Amino acid sequence: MAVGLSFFALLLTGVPIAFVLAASALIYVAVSGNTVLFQSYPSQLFGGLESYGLLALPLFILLGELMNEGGIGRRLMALAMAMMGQVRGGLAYVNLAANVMMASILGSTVAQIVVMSRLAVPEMDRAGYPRDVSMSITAAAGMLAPIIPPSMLFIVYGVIAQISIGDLFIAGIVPGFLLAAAFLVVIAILGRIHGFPANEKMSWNARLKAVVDALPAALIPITIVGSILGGLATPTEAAAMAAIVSILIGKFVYRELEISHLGPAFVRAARSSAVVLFVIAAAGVFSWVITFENIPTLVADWLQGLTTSPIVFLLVLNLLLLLVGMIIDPIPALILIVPVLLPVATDVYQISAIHFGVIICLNLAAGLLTPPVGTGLFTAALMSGIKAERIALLVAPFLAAAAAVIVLLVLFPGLMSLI
Amino acid sequence: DDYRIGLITPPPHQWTKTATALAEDLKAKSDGRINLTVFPSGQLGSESEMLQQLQTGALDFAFLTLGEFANRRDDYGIFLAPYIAKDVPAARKLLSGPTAQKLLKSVSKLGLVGFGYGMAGLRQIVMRGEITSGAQLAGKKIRTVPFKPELDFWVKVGAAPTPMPLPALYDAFANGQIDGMQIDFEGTWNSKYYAHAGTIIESNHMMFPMVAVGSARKWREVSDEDKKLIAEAMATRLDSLVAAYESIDADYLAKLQTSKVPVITVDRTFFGEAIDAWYAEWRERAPLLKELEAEAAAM
Amino acid sequence: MASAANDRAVRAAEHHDTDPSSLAARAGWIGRVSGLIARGEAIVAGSLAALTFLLLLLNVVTRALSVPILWVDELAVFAMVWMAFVGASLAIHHRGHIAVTLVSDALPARPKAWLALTVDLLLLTFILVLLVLIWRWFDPVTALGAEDLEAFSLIDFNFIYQEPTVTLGVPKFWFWLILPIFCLTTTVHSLSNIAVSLGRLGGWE
Ligand code: NA
Ligand code: NA
Repeated sequence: MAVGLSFFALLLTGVPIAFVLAASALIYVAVSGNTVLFQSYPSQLFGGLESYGLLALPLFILLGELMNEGGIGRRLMALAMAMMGQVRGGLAYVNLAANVMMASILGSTVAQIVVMSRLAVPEMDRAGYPRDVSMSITAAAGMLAPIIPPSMLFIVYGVIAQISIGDLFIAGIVPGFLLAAAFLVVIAILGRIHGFPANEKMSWNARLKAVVDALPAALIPITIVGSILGGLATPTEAAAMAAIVSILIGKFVYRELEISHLGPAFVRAARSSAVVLFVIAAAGVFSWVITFENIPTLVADWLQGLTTSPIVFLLVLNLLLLLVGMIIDPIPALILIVPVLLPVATDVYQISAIHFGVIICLNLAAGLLTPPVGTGLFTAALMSGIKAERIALLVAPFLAAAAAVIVLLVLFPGLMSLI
Repeated sequence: DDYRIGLITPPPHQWTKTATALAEDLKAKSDGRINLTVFPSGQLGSESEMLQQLQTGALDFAFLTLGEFANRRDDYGIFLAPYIAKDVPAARKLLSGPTAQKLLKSVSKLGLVGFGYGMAGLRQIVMRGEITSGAQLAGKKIRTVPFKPELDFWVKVGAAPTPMPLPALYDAFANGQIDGMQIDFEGTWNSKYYAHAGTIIESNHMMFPMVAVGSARKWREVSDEDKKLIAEAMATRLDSLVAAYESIDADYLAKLQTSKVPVITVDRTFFGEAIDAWYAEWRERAPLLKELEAEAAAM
Repeated sequence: MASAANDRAVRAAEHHDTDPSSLAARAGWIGRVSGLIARGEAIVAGSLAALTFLLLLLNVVTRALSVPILWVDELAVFAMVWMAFVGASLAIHHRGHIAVTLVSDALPARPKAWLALTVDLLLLTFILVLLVLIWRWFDPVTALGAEDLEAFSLIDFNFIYQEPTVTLGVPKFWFWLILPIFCLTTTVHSLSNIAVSLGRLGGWE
């Protein structure tokens, strides 16, 4: 209680969110009287970042910086535009389509928001879209990253649940495209409300030029996918490979990148990823304290006492995950929740571990975009200068669409085994 | 009294099941007085973080893999000696023998109390492509955990031991970033690594011991009666855990044999000179190895 | 060219207040120290990002040549952790951490300045508490006084100086040192922020 009150008091005062989480963990330790935890607190703060999986974040952020610096992003967007007719809100659809493509390369929402906000938002600015709206579309579409395979969340879930990550990836395909379809509908409606501009008229010559211009840029996704499937690199290392290719293309093909730009690009990448990583570290130490007090098990017992119906269980679980996702980042949340709730789901309610995983990951991915703690929101704010509160408001319709998809999957789990 | 036990294995793993059974035993034998809560999947942190929490007294008990100790003192590495135990019953004997007990006592230097050993399945090798002789392992990238004795084994085999975080392992193997891995049958089946394998080598070449430890700081505060109760319950459960691996290994091997991947069975000679070279070096590095070898020879 | 201009706008927006260093410069010597530290931090954080990047490439190359190097992953992770702490400290100087400014935005100038000062003070309090926890953990006085580190560990049940790294072969506390460094630099940044907030309340603008 005291912890909850101080949490919101600190938050509303305007204390940076990472420090709100880290301080709440301290307050919780003090209130619970388990003061021996103070001794491990500093090393847990450090340990929250000590994970190979997190390396993907700074690397993909760096890739976004370099793609932009070398003029690659601009040409990829031009290509997507050339392929689109003169539809109202064409660029918004281009953004969504580009996000679907990116999601099949990247596995992390935050990394995808960083890359796409560098690529899509400036173009949409230029075409006359209000920046807060274009940033919100980009942020929402970032939810696709951990659902359409590959996915960092599925990987972590698969390891905890000891089930095949490949099977999880396959189970994510249909939900991923359902999500994209739901977002398409939201964009269509928003387009009518806000009066999105149509694409500029493009001559066939201009379209052809855009295609030719973008050909070298296509090497980036080819490098990523190729180096993973070719057995050269892990997905994280693939980002480093693609970054090298971006530098080469920017320097020697497009001739927009100067070597003197590299230093500042590294500094910018370090600054944006540090802010996000620090939130993750603080969320990690917060969830460690909560786990120590065995809160997840108490909640699991309570949940189990509520109902015998698997559908009701999953629906209540969704509400619960929404609450968890409000405060805790997906990866610490998975470590917090899955070990206690998975046995309940599979043994008590006979829910398949794969379906359970997809539903949990969808919920937690949505949590990245819900206030008060939404790393996706923060990243979007950081990249665009728009306030996180404003973006939160504008992504709400997309979250409603995502909720509809989740309910659909709860009612018709067969959708996850279609492929 | 409330106690906590931490481990890195997920709920379906045999170690976690053992910890859960231990908690039930303790509750029953103490008439509900002792309440042990299990924290699986590294919920309280990595093994080194749990070790630190044991040292401060925040955490009461943990099941830690031997590597956490082997990287601190070479003597702990002797249980990773290749072919030191020919099968699970032999491993069970060695893990309760005098050398093992001597090492178990010495965890007090780390601020811990040792209760006994457990283990996971014997180590096997899963490879891409067809493998028929040990010489073919030369130059191959084999994923191992970064424990010195294990790495050294693979260096001496002529392979390139390659680090790979567990979450990246499936894709890395499927796509060929690594050519193979050292793992047990249980993991091979549960994580479906066999789906991308060309050969499964039943080598039984190494043990994978676990050490059950407690916090020395907290242990001082436990009553003598409960100390006895806990130590006995631990010993019983750990022994049946080790014993269980005989049938676990056999069951998962049988499951793997239903897949289309060929399983070849090999022995010490498969690895050529490598094993003798390993022993020559580790007898120097870890003086206790000779004692363990003598024990094994006497069996 | 228009997109280059846009890009600059995005970058400017990233650093919320227009020029924190010149503001800090008005905060006296503490502001100047904070500015100097921040300049160093930007270089260090950028270099650590570059190091992380190069290490991952090294991994790809050495594995392709079948001579993988064991310690690369571990060092890359530590480089990232250092980058995160150095960058997080820098973000305090730039007031670049993400916060909910709902209440602050709704307030008129003067209460807003008081609220900003409150946040600065709360932040400093947290950092000082963290500093105490870290001091107790490193316990340098007892450690330096003890005969040897093993003896120290057993008296204190504190094994910080004996914790190994998995593959790097150096004690882990060298990497943990980023925590006290973080506390020191953030203390300076935070004091400078407080000086700026006080200056505002004293009628700078
Ligand atoms: Na993805
Ligand atoms: Na959230």
